[in-house]
Amino acid sequence: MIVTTCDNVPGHEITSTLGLCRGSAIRARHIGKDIMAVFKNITGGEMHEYSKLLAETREQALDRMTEDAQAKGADAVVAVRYASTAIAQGAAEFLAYGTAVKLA
Amino acid sequence: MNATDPTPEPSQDELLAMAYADGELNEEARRDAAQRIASDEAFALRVAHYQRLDVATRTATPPEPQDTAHAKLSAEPTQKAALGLGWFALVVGFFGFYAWAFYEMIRDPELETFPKVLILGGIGGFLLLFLAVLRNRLREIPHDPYTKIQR
Repeated sequence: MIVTTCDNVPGHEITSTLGLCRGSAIRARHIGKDIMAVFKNITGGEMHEYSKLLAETREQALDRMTEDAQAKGADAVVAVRYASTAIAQGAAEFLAYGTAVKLA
Repeated sequence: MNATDPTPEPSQDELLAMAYADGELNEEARRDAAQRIASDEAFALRVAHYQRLDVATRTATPPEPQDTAHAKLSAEPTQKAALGLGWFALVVGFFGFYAWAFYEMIRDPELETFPKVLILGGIGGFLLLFLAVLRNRLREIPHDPYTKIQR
């Protein structure tokens, strides 16, 4: 499965568009990491606890989007974008979306 | 097993799990595999293992200087001891205080039985909900391929 932020796939011709595919995920770390992050909020610097959280959520949302595209029978997803929302405090929330396409 | 032993051939189940994790199955085969994941715990764990490898491979990046520095500083005995001691004191103090406050409240002769029962019910319910979520999470972890991602 080719996943790209471009509007087309270089070297391939898009034969049909299968529509929007998307995946979202919300994840949290345990309270211990939240407490350490509060201290990091005071001292400054990278919040390693939340960097990991963000990465986990991003990959899960991406996988769900890819699964959605596979279910539609797509060969690739073009114009992929990420969006984030804020529902729960201390949680990372990601939406990955793009256009599922068939390639020649 | 030593280094000269040939790698055993993967079984049909392993090949199927790999193909599912890598998204190589056609729509029908994928649907069949998804049904099997729902009903076969061993197969579901096998798929989760390969999904974890797939995610780890996809997200693996060379360590940046700040990562190395962070890991080195975190591994220092002083830092580890301070964190361990800090957590121990926090947990003991926090739970100890609430246990003591709860004990004092139960013993309080001025407080009637009814509010004591309500408070006991509230704390019991809270604990029960927490344990239910914790139990679910612990059982879910082997199926969660995202826990090893670093950044």
